[in-house]
Amino acid sequence: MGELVFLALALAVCGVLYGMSFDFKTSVLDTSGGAAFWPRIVIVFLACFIIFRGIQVIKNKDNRQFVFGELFRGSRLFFLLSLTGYIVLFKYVGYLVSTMLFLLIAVNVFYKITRDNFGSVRSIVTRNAVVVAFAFGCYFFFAKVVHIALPQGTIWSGIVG
Amino acid sequence: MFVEVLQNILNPTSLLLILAGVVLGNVFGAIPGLNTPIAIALVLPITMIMDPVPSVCLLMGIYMGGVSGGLVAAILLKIPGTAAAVATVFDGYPMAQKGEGTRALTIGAFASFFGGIFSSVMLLILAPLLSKIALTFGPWEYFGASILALSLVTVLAKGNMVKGCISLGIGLLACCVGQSPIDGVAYRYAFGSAHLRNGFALVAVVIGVFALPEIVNNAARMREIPVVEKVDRKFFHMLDFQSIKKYIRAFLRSSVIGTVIGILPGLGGGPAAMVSYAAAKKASKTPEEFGKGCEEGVVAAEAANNATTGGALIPLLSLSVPGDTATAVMMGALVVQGIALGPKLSMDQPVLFRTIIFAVFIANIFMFLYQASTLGIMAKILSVPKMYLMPYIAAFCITGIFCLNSNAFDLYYTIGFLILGYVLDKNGYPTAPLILGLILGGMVEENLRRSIVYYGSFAECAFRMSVGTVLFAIAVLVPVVTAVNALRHLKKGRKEEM
Repeated sequence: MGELVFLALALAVCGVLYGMSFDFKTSVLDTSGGAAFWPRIVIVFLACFIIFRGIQVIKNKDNRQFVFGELFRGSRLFFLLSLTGYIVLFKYVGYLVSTMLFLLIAVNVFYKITRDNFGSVRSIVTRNAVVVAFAFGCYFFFAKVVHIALPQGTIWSGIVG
Repeated sequence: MFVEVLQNILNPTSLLLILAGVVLGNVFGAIPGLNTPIAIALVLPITMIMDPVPSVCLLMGIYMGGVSGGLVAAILLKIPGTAAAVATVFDGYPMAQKGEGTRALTIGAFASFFGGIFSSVMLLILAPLLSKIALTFGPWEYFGASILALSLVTVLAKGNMVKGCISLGIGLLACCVGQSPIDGVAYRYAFGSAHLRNGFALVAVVIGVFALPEIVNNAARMREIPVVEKVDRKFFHMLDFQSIKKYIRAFLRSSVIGTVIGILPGLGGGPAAMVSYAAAKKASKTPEEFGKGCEEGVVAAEAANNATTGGALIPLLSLSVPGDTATAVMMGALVVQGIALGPKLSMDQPVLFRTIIFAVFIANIFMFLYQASTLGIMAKILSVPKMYLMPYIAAFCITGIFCLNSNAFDLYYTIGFLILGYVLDKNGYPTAPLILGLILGGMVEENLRRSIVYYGSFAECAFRMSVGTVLFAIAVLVPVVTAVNALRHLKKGRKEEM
């Protein structure tokens, strides 16, 4: 059933994208079929195989569970959320702070999950120091050596003015 | 020119970078859950500050090291470090259980070296030859070649062909996002966003579909601490001459199989090792020994999976068509370097073209020397807890994606591709066709539309006798024949059940 829902959603997206292809701008000089030519071929190709797969699932009465929900449970959900939070915070608090935050949370929580405790004080200090050093090291390398404009964080520029 | 190539390769920086690449690739190949494409994606931002030659050296080192790294976990843990090492488990692990783990690793390391060097020689011979042929290609021939690559990847990729086609369709559709080629007037599926006008960044999609789902998946397996079989302490694990002589036919057969399968797009080391293993079993006088710790089984699997490396580079360098996922990511890295892959590479940049090939040779030699001298250390690396590795790798992946375009928007859709990649992979939809669809989609569309402009219509193109038409016909026939065969087998099976 889960796969049928997935296929139905994919088919609906195909329908919407096919409809959108009629709005593409065209050039009078272009004799190659226009901007919509290839996307329409791809959509028809994809839709045919989605329908074919749907028939396969119904005919074979495929009762294998469609894996989707497990991504949003337990450790996977935690990692997905922390990764999403990292990406969202990237722009607002800057590369250095967001990387540090993400790693501090992820490394410590995973340690707790794996060992059922946070370890000795020495272990806590060491792994968090490594996280901070890694974040500073990455920042130094990419910003100062590679000269990539890493986000400084809009929140700080707002506070500093 | 030959002197220039040697100067490029045999200088300390290049040699050090190849060695660093081999070590990094080997570690990523050895640890289950990590793989060569992830290692290549990780060094991508670093290669951006390098000149083409050093970056090529680093990338080739990672590629060679990564493919052979999988054998350590396959033999000592019964968990293949990479998909390419699946067949190594069949006889490698039983050997380790019999107390012959060190022998299995030594055989595996030498077989990897043999396969790698054999395919490098093939690369040296075939890549310039294919480039010369490809120089005569027009847009219709390029369309034929790229559509054949896509057709093969869906038919030969693991799992259901229909699922492979759906995955391919998603990749092709993702490639349609952004400015349309040829006319350049339409911004397709950009939804008014200036960021989407250039389409999706290949590396962001590759990391989203391949690397991050694997890391998220590992998040639920943090508690698994592997029990590693012991490896004998020895400075250098070299296979004795008698064994080399005994298995020379197996080495050669497996290397040929690996190279040929490597050339076909989308397959890579896993299927090559399986086919080679099956061929070795068939050719053996004692096939009943296979699966019980047979040395020839390890030879067949390891020589073949490493031979795919040179094979996969042949279409990449001469046609700009990647042979497997690792070469697809590498293609992204080389494009960032401004290296125009394809038939003109051997003509316009002959020194760089040969430097790449020689880097593959040196990387194979370093891979063997490194593996033969560090088997014990590699076994210890397998015990590194994932709770430390995964967050750091994820942070580095995110940094790498941002560095490509200095654009946080690339990160937002990466999360979307992560979820898509996870769902597809977990439900048996192969992800390799998606990536190849994204890479080759632009090439297919551009050449198809150019052909239509040139010849007047699609029918005019399809009915003229040319290499392009032959390639296109094969591309259509291969899936049709495969589907008909599958239906026949299904009907036969049902009749037998009745």
